[in-house]
Amino acid sequence: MPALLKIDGLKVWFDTAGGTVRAVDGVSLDIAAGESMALLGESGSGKSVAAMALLQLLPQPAGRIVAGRVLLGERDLLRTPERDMRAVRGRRIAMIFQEPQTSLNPVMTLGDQISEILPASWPRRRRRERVIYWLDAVGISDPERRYREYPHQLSGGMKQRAMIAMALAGEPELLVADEPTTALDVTIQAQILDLLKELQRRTGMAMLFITHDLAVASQVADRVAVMYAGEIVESADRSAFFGGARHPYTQKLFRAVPGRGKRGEMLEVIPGGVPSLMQEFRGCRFADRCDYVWDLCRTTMPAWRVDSGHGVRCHLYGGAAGISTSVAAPRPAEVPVRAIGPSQPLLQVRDLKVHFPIHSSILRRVVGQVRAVDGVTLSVGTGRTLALVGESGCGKTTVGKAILQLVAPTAGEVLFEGTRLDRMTPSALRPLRRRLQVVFQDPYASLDPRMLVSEILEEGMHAQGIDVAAAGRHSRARDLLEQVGLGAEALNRYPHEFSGGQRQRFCIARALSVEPRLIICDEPTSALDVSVQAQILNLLRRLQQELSLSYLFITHNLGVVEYLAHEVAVMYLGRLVETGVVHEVLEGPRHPYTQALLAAVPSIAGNRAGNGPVPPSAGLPRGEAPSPVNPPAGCHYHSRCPQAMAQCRTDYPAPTRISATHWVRCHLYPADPDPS
Amino acid sequence: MVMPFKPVILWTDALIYLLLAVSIAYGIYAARHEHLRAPWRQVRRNPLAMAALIVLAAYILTGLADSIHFRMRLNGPQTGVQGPIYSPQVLSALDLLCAPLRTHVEQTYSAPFALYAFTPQMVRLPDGSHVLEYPRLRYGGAGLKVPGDRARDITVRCLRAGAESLLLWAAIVGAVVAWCVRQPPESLRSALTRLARGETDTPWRAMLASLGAVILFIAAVANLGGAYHILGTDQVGQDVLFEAIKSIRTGLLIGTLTTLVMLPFALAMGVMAGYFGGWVDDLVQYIYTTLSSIPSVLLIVAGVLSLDLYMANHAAAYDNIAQRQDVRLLSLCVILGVTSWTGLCRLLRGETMKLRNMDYIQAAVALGVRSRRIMTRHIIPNVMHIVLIYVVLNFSGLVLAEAVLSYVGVGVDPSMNSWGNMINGARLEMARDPVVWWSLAAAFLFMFTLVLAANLFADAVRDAFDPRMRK
Amino acid sequence: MIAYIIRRIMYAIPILIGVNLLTFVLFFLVNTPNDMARFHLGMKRVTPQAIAEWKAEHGYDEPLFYNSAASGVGTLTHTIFFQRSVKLFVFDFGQSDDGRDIGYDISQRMWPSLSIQLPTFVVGLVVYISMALMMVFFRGTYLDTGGVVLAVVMMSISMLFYVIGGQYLFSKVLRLVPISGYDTGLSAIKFVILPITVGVISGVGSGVRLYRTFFLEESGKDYVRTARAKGLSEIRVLFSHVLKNAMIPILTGVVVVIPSLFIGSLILESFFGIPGLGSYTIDAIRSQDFGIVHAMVFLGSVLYIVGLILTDISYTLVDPRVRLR
Repeated sequence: MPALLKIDGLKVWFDTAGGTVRAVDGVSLDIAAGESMALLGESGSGKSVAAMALLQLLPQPAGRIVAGRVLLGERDLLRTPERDMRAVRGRRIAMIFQEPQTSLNPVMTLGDQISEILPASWPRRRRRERVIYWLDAVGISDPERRYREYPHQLSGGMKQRAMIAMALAGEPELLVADEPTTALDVTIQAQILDLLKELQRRTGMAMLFITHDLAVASQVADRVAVMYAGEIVESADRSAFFGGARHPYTQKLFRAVPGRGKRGEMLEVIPGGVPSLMQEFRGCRFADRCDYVWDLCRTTMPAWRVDSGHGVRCHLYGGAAGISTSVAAPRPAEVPVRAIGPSQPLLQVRDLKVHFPIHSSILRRVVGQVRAVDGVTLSVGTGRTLALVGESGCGKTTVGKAILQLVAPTAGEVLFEGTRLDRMTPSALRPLRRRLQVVFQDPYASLDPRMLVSEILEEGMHAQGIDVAAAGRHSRARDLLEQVGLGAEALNRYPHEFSGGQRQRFCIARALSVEPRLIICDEPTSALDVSVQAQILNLLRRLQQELSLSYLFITHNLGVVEYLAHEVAVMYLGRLVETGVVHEVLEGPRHPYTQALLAAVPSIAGNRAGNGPVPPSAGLPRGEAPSPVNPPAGCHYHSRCPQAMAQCRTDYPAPTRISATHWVRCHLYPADPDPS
Repeated sequence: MVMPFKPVILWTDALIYLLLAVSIAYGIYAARHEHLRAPWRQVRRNPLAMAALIVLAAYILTGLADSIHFRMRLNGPQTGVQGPIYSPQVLSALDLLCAPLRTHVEQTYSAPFALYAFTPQMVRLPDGSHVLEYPRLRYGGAGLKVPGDRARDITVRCLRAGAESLLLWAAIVGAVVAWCVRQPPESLRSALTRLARGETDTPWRAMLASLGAVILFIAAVANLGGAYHILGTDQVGQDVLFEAIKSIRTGLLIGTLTTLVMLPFALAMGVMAGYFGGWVDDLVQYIYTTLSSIPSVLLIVAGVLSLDLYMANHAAAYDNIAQRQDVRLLSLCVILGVTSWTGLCRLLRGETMKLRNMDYIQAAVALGVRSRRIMTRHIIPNVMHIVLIYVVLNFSGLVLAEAVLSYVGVGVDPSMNSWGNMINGARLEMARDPVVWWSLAAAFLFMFTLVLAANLFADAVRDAFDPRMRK
Repeated sequence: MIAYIIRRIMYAIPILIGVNLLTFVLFFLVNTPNDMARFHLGMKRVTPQAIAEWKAEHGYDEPLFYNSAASGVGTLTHTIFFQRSVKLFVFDFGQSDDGRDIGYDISQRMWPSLSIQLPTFVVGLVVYISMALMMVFFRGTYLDTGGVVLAVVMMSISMLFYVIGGQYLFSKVLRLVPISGYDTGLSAIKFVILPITVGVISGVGSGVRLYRTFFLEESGKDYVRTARAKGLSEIRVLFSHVLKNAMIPILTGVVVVIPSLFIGSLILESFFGIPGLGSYTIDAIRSQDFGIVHAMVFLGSVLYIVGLILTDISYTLVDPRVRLR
């Protein structure tokens, strides 16, 4: 097949105060017409920079294209003057971005923004009709009305649909999609992926899909290329790639993804981090993290070798015997999830409600309530992990904060070791806080940038009066670092000198510093790359076993739940819809929402026969979650539920007992006659 | 043992010493904390900012020398008084350094480098008749035997000034080069080349150039100032150059003390309003909305006007000129501070509200850290960059404001040396023909140099400290 | 919208009371009416009778805040605070110390002020924004760098020098316009043209620099990248995307001063002899006339609050996300 776009030896360097960062260092890639290519890589691998370089949209003047060619047909885009590039951008190559929230101009109507890409010579009416056609094509209902609306009037998923409409309106030959679903919830992600596949089929355009998610890549791609530290390390057809990845890095990535079937074992961990791109590499860039490294890897850069369409950049496949099919990996150690029977509940939450008043901008008149949490009952036993699962905006983070009394609950009870935490004065609460700690999502925002690591670790001890003597605190801080797998030399440094994964270890050490019984983990791994996520998850599990900690693990990632949790509670719009032991809920979900969540999770479908992408997933919920300001009457989920009945619109379902530990709130199941 | 002088510490002097101590303490603190050292390092690499800093340093040293006050002992007969008598006149170290400039007072206006007065005077001839003529100045060019020698004399003095400053400058350049050669060790040749090309990490070339200019200026004043009035004299015959130099302290004080006075309020109220919210926030917001709703000029006017009335009614308490000037200056700083804290307070409140919801603050609350400690250990260090940027950006605005206020009549004491008073006094003389331009020119030159240097330095500080400016 | 404005006006009342209290405290805490009388009579030995007469004549013969001699509501109304402040709320400004009707003076003098301030404001805004846009368009080039340096130099010069320099150059040397003065009607043009020019030029430095940072900040945003990815020309990106969004921060700083244009500029008016409210205020300051200063403070606060409300309303015009409720 003739290549539509041919990238050849592309190098993009950034000049920073610290030196030159070789963000893209010799990338070659072909995309055929109508083909969908996934460019896979972790953060900092240079995948987005490469995409921006195609369209010469690099931030100026820091970024410069040092070498390479990008051939679109006969034309080298890197040598095309800015004037002529305008005819390429949007019309031949269109692009959609990760953040639909910020990628649309907030002060222009959708209609105006999309029309901009249509020829100015067209009469207004024709352009309008065209825009409405595309709005309709991307599944935006009532396109005439949306045409006049502004981005803020649309939900996140709708904004991304509008972005796609804008990109497609130029009828490009190639669509570059830069992590288009990363900022979206799983159910919305599934919708957008389906939409992209459908549109690609209809228009016959090619797609360069940039992602960090193996599963997403397996859903959309015909071919996959893996980027690591500025270069492509492996590239193959979808089936060959997911059937047998060759590069040690790719293999490790596959084994680092948590999920079913990995409960019993520690996750594969890629030690260390991505090397600094300020250096000139002599050997293989992955050498420092590779299990198979030998001398050659450190001295000679591995060449790109292709065998029956499967390319790889690794010395393992350079032997005279040709390419060995696959390298056996050592199995990670088996660490069984300890079978702990039902235990004394450590934390009990009864009918917790958190409502945030909405004030009018002046005079603070209350004009409404955001029902962030609207009656949540749960309990966490000693040494156990309860996963609280839900999409963004469902109130799961607020539950965590209300338990910690960081926001005041509106109603309900929070009992910790039998003591009511709500209604306590701040000073009475203070000594209890050492039993109940928290780890937040963003490791960059949760460490004070002005404090040394030692100060961060000792702050809690100081506040709680543990080890009053400075020397005692110091040695404890050292012990804590060791416990989370870091060296004592970190103590006298600032957080910004460390990577995200290391910072998250500091956060865990800080929580441990006051010897808590329960740690509320609020999406502690969702800001991290897969390989680092595995490190943190393994650490959390090890600590639980060593210290018999309990976790309330708040997450949207069902893979993580399967790996770590004992019990699961599924939350939708401020309320729990289903709770139970992990295998009950994940293997036999009863609530349509739980079923939809599970269906929406993209899975790595490697063993499927054939070469085509996975067909659109069925049974997805319609639309997006309504606002918690005006939750729908009856069952909150009825507006999106494919199985909604008349009763669902009027009555909120009572809990139904499926088993001793499994409860669901749905009218599909006869309510318990005696909900005791 | 009787001291030849008696130290006098004016209120503003005390505050300047305090400010100096605070700055030194901040310097030590910043040197120990990487998050402060890194942005300052960025400032240090900026050639324009460092050149400006040299100029600022010259101004600051002048201002400091003018802030060491004392009264000289009188050597007259001591009748009926035990112990020494001290002159009622308060002098400063700068006054002593510039003694020739201070004491060479003419009758009235004279042009720069003039030998004769600017305005003709009736002179009574020996025969009793009166003639209108331009009298010879008492000090300006007094050393000349023949008036025609003036050009030659000035040239000689200029050359000498040039030679002296070149010598001193060369010595400093030598010291810098020696320093560069030593660490890290490199050859003299390469050190010189790098210096000359401006490739050193610390921008020595720019700093030395600006230092050279400062030295040349000082040498010129030292060589010419005693013999001529370089910038002429004003209506009462004062040397204009001396006035302009004396005004440096006033300008610096207005620019810095105002901030010093208002900083504690702005910081405490802004942080507390942002952290606690609720009624504290309502109260602080009410206060600053009220204050900022009054046009600041009018608030200053109202404040100064009542101060004037008060001082006029209690004239007895302010008989000493230096003290009166001082109280007036300090009050002006306080009043300016009252009008200018609202902006900073609003900024700090907003930033604190943002920080309050940051995860690391939430984590500290979850650890049981007390509110006061959270504010002092987490919030204040994280808003200090805003304070610093505000202070340096505000400085030049305040220096400019002084001139306007003094012109309007609500600035510093009319008898005090300040650029505003100089402009105010010279403005009326613009109508004369030929124009008396030198007072204006002097005020313009000194003010412009200070404000430009401050602006350039402030820009560099903002670029280094404002997180939005970073990539 | 109307309900919103009414609420805002209600909210302004405590602020205006605060302003009045503050002005009062500033004046009368340190200067009793007796002190004022003594100051105005200007004699070393003033008889108590003369003081009493002066006070009665100028309305300072009642207690400041609370009149124990009166009864009922009178305890509060028969006070200087009530007489001098509360009346301001119905825009009854009273009389100045030399017996003129302040309200009348203000109504006469605000037009000359406006004739300088409004053109200065409009021309200034247009000039600064277009210069800043041009610098952003040529960002990274010598034009941009030179512009930034020039802006810093220009903002380091005191406004007084712009005025003096302008008068010297255009009136004294070139003799293009009169040095100062004012006239009514069209003949005012030759008097106002120089103050307007000076007013605009003196603000170039800070104005251009500020707007340039606004534009630069906007042009780094994601939606600008989207616009470029669409293949729009740089001019189009700048005008229909960056400028539109940068109007939000620009309006924040700009709209609030519009009502205060009535107050005039102290410096321009006094230098150029414009009989506006600025020079009125300066004259009052120099003659230490409390009545006028007080009235101007009050008027200034009212106009500032009007400016705040206008700012909020202007947001709804440029930012579709803002709805006033």
